[in-house]
Amino acid sequence: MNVRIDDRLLKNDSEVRRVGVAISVDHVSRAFDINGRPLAVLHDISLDITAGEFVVIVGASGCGKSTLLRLIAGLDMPNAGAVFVGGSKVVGPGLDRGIVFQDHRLLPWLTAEENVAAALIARGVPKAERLDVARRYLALVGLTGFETAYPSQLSGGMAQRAAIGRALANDPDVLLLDEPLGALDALTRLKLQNEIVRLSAKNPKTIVLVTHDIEEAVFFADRIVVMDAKPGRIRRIIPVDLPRPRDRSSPGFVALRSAVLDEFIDETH
Amino acid sequence: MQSKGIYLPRGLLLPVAILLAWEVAAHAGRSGGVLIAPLEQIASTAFTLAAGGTMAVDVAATIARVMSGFVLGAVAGLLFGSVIGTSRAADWLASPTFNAVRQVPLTGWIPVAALLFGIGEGAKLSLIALAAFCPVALNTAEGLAGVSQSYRELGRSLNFSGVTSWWRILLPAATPQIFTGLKHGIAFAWIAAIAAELLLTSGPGLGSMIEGGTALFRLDIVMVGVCLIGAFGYAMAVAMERVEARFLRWRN
Ligand SMILES: Nc1ncnc2c1ncn2[C@@H]1O[C@H](COP(=O)(O)OP(=O)(O)O)[C@@H](O)[C@H]1O
Ligand SMILES: [Mg+2]
Repeated sequence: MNVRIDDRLLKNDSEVRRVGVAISVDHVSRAFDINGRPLAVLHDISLDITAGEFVVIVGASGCGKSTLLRLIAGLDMPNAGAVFVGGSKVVGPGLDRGIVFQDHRLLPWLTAEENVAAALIARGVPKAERLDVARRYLALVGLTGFETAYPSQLSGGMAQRAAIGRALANDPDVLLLDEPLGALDALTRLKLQNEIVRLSAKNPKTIVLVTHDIEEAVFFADRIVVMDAKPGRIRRIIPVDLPRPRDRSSPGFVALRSAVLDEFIDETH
Repeated sequence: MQSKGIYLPRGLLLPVAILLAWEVAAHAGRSGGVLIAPLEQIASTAFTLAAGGTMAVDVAATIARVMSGFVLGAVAGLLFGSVIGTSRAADWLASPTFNAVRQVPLTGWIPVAALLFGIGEGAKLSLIALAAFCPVALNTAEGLAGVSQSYRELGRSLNFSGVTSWWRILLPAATPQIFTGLKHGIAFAWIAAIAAELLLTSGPGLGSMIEGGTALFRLDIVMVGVCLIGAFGYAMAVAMERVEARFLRWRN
């Protein structure tokens, strides 16, 4: 990895971005029509994310975090500006981006392994191979033994593990996580936080994670993007230079956590 | 602790009470001149009809009619409901007509069917098929249209094509409601078959059996018919629920 080259601008072509920049959000705005009136949800957001970087987005509820993530996922389109992933403009969803929603969104009529295997259908992988890959990823997220369980038979934490396995199954360059642990109890969340760190160390990816848990942000992030609401924009980007693996009780961690928290309290005046 | 008395399943309590009341009324009515056939007479008539082979012919005729009419109507309902529930344009075009058609009670269609097809098999089948068609089409359409946005979005995020999305997400998500439609469909088909047989009397069938009993003032024959209708209607509902349970195993 060479940071120098990474930052060099290759071409001024709008379709080609900087080498090493995995995700580029370029002057993006998004408004929704609410009863005939436009509601500006994101206003002129620009953000470059380096390949392999772990970026955490925090901000008050309703400030447009999910909307931003959906724009990167290609599930929604901006009204102005553009998003680039791996150098090409996002025009729709793609298997280069795995996504985990806040609700696990497992299909209830499929078993855990079938749910994970579903991620490989669009690539035309034969069924037996799909299930093989699915079982590997279930093992990776710690769900060995639950391959043929239906979602209704899994706990919330297990279901979210399976959802993470599904997002990883295509080995995407980019992983997008929208409050993936938000619905879990504190203990399960702690466990899965460690698990996500383990997974991202084992198989580095560019990760964008949305959360409103400040400690989680400091635990994961290379950079924390703090967003403002109405309209949603980036208020501040906080680099996190703490060594990994991170110790939640280290003075550096505690200090940074309260610094980010202050940033939040400021926001609400 | 439960006392060791006569054990009676809860579901049988009411029927037994009704039968007892019937029997008492039948014997009391005999002196009062009311024509209530006592249970033993109904039973012996049932036995005679069964032994003579006419009961089997009637039952088989009705069941065959219901089955073929139901399959016709349900398949058409699945197809029609799929189109309406998937395509907004088709919904816009065809739903008002469909909703108007399904407001007409079945008995309203009987004269229409008689005029179009006569009183033979064609009229009966088309009535049964129509009865099954409406609930199946309605529930299929509603089930498909009502699939949550989050599942559709998941399909998009997995790069599913329209066809894959329909087959892997929309259809399975709509299956519980489609089965609701199929269960109503088989029940309505059964009702339609009896109504059609009663009003378009031709050939064997449970409706014709009842009609014949009425003409002879034989309440015992009528009651045998009614019991058979109830029993086989119930059996069909149970069979459909078995099929549903197989398809929807994932629900628990
Ligand atoms: N599809 C949509 N249609 C209309 N309004 C939307 C839509 N998606 C999001 N919004 C609105 O945009 C705002 C930001 O939503 P969201 O991005 O989900 O916020 P966050 O994830 O930060 O809580 C909210 O006010 C929400 O109501
Ligand atoms: Mg959100």
